[in-house]
Amino acid sequence: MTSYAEILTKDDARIRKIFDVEAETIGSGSVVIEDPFPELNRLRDVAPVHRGSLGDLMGYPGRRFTHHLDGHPTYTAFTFSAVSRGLIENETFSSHAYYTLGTVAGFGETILNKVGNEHRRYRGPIQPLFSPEAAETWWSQKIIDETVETLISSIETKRESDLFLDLCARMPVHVVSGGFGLDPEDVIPFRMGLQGLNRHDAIPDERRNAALTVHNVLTRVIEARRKAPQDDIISKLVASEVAFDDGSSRPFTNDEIISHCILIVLAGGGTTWRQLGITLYALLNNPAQFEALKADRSLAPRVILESARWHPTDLIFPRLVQKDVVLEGVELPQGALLHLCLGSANRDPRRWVDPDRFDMMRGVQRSLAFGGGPHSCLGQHVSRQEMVTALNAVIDRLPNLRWDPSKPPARLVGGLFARGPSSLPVLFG
Amino acid sequence: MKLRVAADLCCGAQRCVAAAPEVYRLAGGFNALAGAETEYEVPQGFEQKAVRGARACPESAIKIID
Repeated sequence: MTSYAEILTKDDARIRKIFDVEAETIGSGSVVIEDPFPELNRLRDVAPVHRGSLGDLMGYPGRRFTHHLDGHPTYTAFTFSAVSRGLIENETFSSHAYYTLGTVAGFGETILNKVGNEHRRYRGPIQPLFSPEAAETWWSQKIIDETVETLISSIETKRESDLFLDLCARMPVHVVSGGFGLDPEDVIPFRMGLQGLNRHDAIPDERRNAALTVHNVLTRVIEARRKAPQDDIISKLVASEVAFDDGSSRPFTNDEIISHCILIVLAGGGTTWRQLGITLYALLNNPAQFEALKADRSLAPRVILESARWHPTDLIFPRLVQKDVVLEGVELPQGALLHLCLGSANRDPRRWVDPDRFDMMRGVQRSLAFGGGPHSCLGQHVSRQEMVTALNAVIDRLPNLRWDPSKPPARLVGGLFARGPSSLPVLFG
Repeated sequence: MKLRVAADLCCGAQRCVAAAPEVYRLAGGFNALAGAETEYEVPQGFEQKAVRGARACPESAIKIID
């Protein structure tokens, strides 16, 4: 049997194909945007809420990737206070938008589609598996520490690396899939299936095949765990119950477990990959801050939060307006689509001094990088634990880390979602 | 019983409010507890509900300090 270490570090052409921000951006129907922030800042400073989708307001062509809905007027919120309200008041600004837009077609029913009591009922039993305490203990011991150690042991034998592929891409996809209980051999085919589900330009046959792969892998694991539970997330979900107001309760169905696995594994594998890349990019470009972190590792969690504030992987989240409402002086009609621009909110000068500057020494003030309100990112603590562990390993094991001047310089790229570095070519030793 | 909330950790999920509306309410965006107080005295008789609310917080932002 092939060992976990061999699977994790094997030279796999599929990894290069799956984890390519620019190709993924073009595949989504978007243009590649280099630096959206000057325009986001300008729009935010003109007004807190604008009529129009973010893509249109920024002058980018293409309808699909900018989240249009025919017949629904679209607005974009830019300031920290307007975006916070859009996230917190979930019964007015509904995350059902993901379903209406078709962003999550093929996922099945998930917590993303629920509000109020119904949302709490379903997220409640899942939440403790992703708590700050679970991230630090169970997730670390189960899979984060071993995965990072294996990857860094392989990288340190060389003198150069593209850390974006060798570390950032491989870590989270294996951590989240392995934590759920998937066999390491299934991780990459499963990821390809998930991406097939998520492609905007997939033809129905491709989407059906992708859905089949994903469902087959998960059903096999769920059925096995129902017979013989193990120490993994799917076993814990199998053992969990949804409680109802009348005091009754029932276990999650296979379909419910499958749809939540799809949502969480897709989100966890993609965002952490890109955000760790953005963090390393920021540190390599700010050597004084990198040195300060090396001297005081207790700053690592702050570095992650500052990187996510400064440049979150996703610049917007969509919401559907459920009733006529006034947001920061702008009347939004029921049925309108509202783009919440996390990117501009995270650089709102009303909340942060010199917000365009990456500065890990600034006081921690919660940003909107992980969203907020009832749908605040479920996996954020696990993700942050992964990134802190990876940062510490990079500092411990790759001395004298620096850009490789012989390679094309790294750039931060992507569309309005799913942004990250083009690559992270480094030398060390 | 006394509670302390870390205002910069509160993300406005409102699970505390759902679990114990007598103890918690969302005030001014990112601040789960009434006003901007960082420490809060739990009304007598609501201790159990306060604990339930604190445990429901996805950010572990509410600590029971006394």
